[in-house]
Amino acid sequence: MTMRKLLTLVAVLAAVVSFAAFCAAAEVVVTYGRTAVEPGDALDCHFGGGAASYQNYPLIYEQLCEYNILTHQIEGLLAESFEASEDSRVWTFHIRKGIKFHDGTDLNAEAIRFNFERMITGVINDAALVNYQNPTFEIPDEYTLIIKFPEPFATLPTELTYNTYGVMSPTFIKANATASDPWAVQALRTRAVGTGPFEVVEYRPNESLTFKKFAGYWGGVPGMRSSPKYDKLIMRVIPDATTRAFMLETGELDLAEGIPADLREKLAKNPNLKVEYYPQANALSCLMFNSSRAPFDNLKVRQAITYAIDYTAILQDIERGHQQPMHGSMPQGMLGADPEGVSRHRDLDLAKKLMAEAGYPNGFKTSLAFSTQRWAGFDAIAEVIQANLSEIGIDLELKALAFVAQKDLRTNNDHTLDLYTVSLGTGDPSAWADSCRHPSTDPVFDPYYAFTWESNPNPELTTDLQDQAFLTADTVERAAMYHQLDLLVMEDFAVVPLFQISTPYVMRSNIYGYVYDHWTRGRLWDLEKRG
Amino acid sequence: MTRFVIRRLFALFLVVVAGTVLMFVITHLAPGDPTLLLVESSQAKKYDMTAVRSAGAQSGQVVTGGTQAIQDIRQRWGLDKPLHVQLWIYLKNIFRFDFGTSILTQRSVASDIGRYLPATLELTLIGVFGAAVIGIISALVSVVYKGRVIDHVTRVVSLLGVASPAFVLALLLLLVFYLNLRWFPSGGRIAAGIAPPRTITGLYLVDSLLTGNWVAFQSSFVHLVLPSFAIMFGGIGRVTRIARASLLNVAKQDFVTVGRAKGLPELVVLRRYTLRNALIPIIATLGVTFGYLMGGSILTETVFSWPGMGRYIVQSAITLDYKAVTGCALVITFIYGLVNLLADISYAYVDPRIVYD
Repeated sequence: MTMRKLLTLVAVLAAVVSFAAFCAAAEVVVTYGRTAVEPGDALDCHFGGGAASYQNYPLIYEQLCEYNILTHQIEGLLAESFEASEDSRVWTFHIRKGIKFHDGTDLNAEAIRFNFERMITGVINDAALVNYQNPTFEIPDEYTLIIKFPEPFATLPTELTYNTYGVMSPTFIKANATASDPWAVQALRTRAVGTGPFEVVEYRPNESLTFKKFAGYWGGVPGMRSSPKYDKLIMRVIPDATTRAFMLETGELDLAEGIPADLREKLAKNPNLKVEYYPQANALSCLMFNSSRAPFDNLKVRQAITYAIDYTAILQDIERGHQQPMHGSMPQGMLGADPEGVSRHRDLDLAKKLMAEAGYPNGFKTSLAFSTQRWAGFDAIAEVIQANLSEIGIDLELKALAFVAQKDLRTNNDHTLDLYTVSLGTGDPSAWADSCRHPSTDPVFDPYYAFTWESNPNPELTTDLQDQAFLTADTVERAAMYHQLDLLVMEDFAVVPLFQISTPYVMRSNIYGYVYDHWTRGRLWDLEKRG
Repeated sequence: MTRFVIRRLFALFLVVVAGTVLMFVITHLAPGDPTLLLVESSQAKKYDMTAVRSAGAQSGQVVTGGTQAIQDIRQRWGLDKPLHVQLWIYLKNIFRFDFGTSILTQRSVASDIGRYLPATLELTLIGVFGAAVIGIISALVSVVYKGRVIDHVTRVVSLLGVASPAFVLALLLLLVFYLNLRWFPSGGRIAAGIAPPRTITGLYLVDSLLTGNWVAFQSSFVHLVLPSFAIMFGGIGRVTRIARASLLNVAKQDFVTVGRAKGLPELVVLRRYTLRNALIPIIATLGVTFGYLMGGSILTETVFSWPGMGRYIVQSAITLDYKAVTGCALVITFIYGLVNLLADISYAYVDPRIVYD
C-alpha cells in the first residue's frame, strides 16, 4: 500500500468517525425540572396518583378521547371516531388502525377492553366509570368497541380524556402477571408500555425519569399528540426552587415548574431565559364563606365582604398581573363560563352600608384560614384581605395552616372564611357544579369542591339543573344550564372568586411550542429545542 | 462487656418502642386527615363525575362521591379503627419488620426506607468521618499554636460551623461552586447519563469500588463533595470545639508534663499522651454529631436533590403519611441508639481503665 493510499484510507476513516461522532452528539435532549417526589404509582396510569404521575401518563399512554387544543373540542385519540345512542347509554368507538404499543404489538378493540377489565377487576383505578356505571363491552370486529351503560352517560367522552384511562399493552401486562399480582402492578412500578409518543428508558424513583422518542409512534393528531421533535426527555426531581433556578441559569435544565414569583422575576431578566404563563380552565382561587353559620349566612355580610376586597391589589400587586381575573365563578375555558360574566370590584362605601344593613355597623371578629402549601401567595393575599376587612370593622384573625389541617377544619365544619385554590379534574363543569349542592342532600362535606354553598336559597332548582346538565349530551344545552347555575351562585354571593390560576413555567429562550394545560399537564411532545 | 452490651441493647429496644409509640401518637393526633388529600388527588372527582349525577342520584342514595371515597380509603388503610387498635396492630407488625404501606408512595414503608436510607447513610457517614478527621486535626493545630493567629482562625471557623444552618451553607456552596465556578454538579447522587453501580451495600462509592466501576465512582464522588461538606461543616465546628477543650484540659495534666520532661518529642507527647486521653469526649461528641448530621441532611438533601430519607420524611410529614413518618422515626432512633452504643463500647478500647461489667 502506497503512502498516498494509506493517507486516503486514514482520511476516510477519520471522516467516518467524525460523522458518527457528529451524529451521536446531535441527539437532542430536553431536561425538565419537576418539584414533586414521585409517588409509587408514577408509571401506572390506572392508579391515578399525584400531579407528577399525571404528567407522565400522556407521555407514555393515550386514551380513547382527548381535548383538542386547536379545535377546542373533545375528539377521538385512539378512537378515530365515536358515536352515542340517542339516550347516551350505548357508545361505539371505532379504533384507529396501525397503532402499535412500545413493545411492537398492535392496538385493537380487545386491548382496550382488556384495559377496562384491569381497571374493574383489579380495583386499582379510581375509575368511577366502571365502579358505578357497570358497563358491558362488545367487540363486533377487531377495531370496534361498544360500551353499554345501564344509565345515560352523556359525559363519557369527557370522562375518557382523563389520563387514568390510558391504554397499556396487554402483552406486557400478561407477561409480567403473577398469581399474587395478576395485573402486573409491581412491574408497572418501574416500567411502562403504552402507545404514547415517548418510551420509558430508565426510572430512578425520587431522582429522574428518562424517556426516548418512540420510533414507531403513529403520529398523533394535531392539537392532541404529535411525534416529538427531539430524541430524549429527562424529567429530574429537583425539590428546591432555588436549585431549579440555578440549573435553569446554567442550562442544565431546559424548563422547570414551580419557580416562585420572586425567583421568576429575577430569572425573567436573564436574556437566556423566559417565563410563560398558562391559564388553566379547571383551576381557580377563591375566598369561601361558611354560610351555614352566622354571620356568613347573611347575604348582606357576604356582599359587604365581597365589595370590601381590593381585587386590584391582589391581582396586580401580589400576583403581578400573571393570574386572570374571574368573570363569574367558573374559570374561563370551562363549558358554560361567560367571558363577559360578573366581575367583582371594590366599593368600600357600599360595603360599609351593607354591613350596617346586616346589623353589624361595628363589624365583628372572625378568622381566615389558608395554607401556603396550596398557593404560595396566600399569606400576602390574606394580609390584604385582613386590611380590607378591617376598613368595614371586621377584625380578621389569620390562620396559616398546613393544608391537611385546613381541610380538617372544613370537614368538621369548624371553618369560617377560607382561602382556597381548586383544581377541578378534567375541567368538566359537572365537577364545578358539585359545589352548588345543598348541605341537606350532602350530609358529609366533600372538601374538594370549588366552594360550598350552604346558603343556597333554591337547592331544588340547582340540583335539577346539575342533574339535567350532567345527563345532557348537547354541549350548547349543557353550557346554558351551567351558565344559569353560575348566575345563581353569583347572585347569592356564595363565594368570592379571586382569580383563575395560570401555571408559570421558566424555560431557556431556545425552547418553543410548549403548552401547559390541565388535560395533559404539559404538552412536552410539542416542545421544540432550537439551536 | 457482653452483659453491658445486652443490657444496652435491651435499653435501646425500649427506647425504640417508646419512640415509635410517641411518634405514632403524635402523628395521629396532629390535625388533618391524609385521606382527604388522597381523595382530592384522585378518587373523589371520579366518584362524583358519574356516581352522584346519574346512578347515585337516580337510586335515591344520599351518599356522595367524596364521602364514599373517604370511607373506602379509611377502610383500605385501616384508619377507620380506634387509635389504640391501630397502634397495637402497628406494633405487632413491627416485630415482623412490616412497617405498613405508605399512603403517599403506595409501597411498603420498609422497601421505601431500604431504597432511601443508603443515600442518607452515605452522606452522613462521610459527614461524620470528615468532621472527625478535620475537626481533630484542627483542634490539634489549634492547641499546638494556642493563642496564635491560626488558633483564633480555627476557633472562629468552628464557631461559624456550629452557627451556620446546613441548608444555608448548601445554597451558598451551590451558588459559588455550581452556578459561578461550575466545579461541581448541582445535585443528585450520580450523573443522569451514568448508570448507578450494581447494588451491594447501597452506598454508591463503596459499590462502585467493589465492582470496579470507575466511571460511577468518579461521578458519585464528585456528586458527594458539596452535600457532604454542607452537612460536615457543622460537625467540624462541634468536634473542633470539644476536641480543643478536651486536649487543652489533658495537656495540663502532670503525666503530659512528665512526658515532656523525659525529653519525648512534642509529636509523641501529643499523640500518645494528650490525644489518646482526650479521645473520650471526642468520641461522645461524634456519636451525638452523627444524629445531628442525619437531622441536618433533611434540608440539605432537598437543596442538592439528594434522593435520601430526608426528603422522604419531609414529603411524608407534609401529607401526614403516618406509617412512613413513624417507620422513619423508628429506623433513625435505632441507628442513633446503635451508633451511641458503639461509641460507648469504643471507650473501653480507648481507655483500658474503663470496665463495664
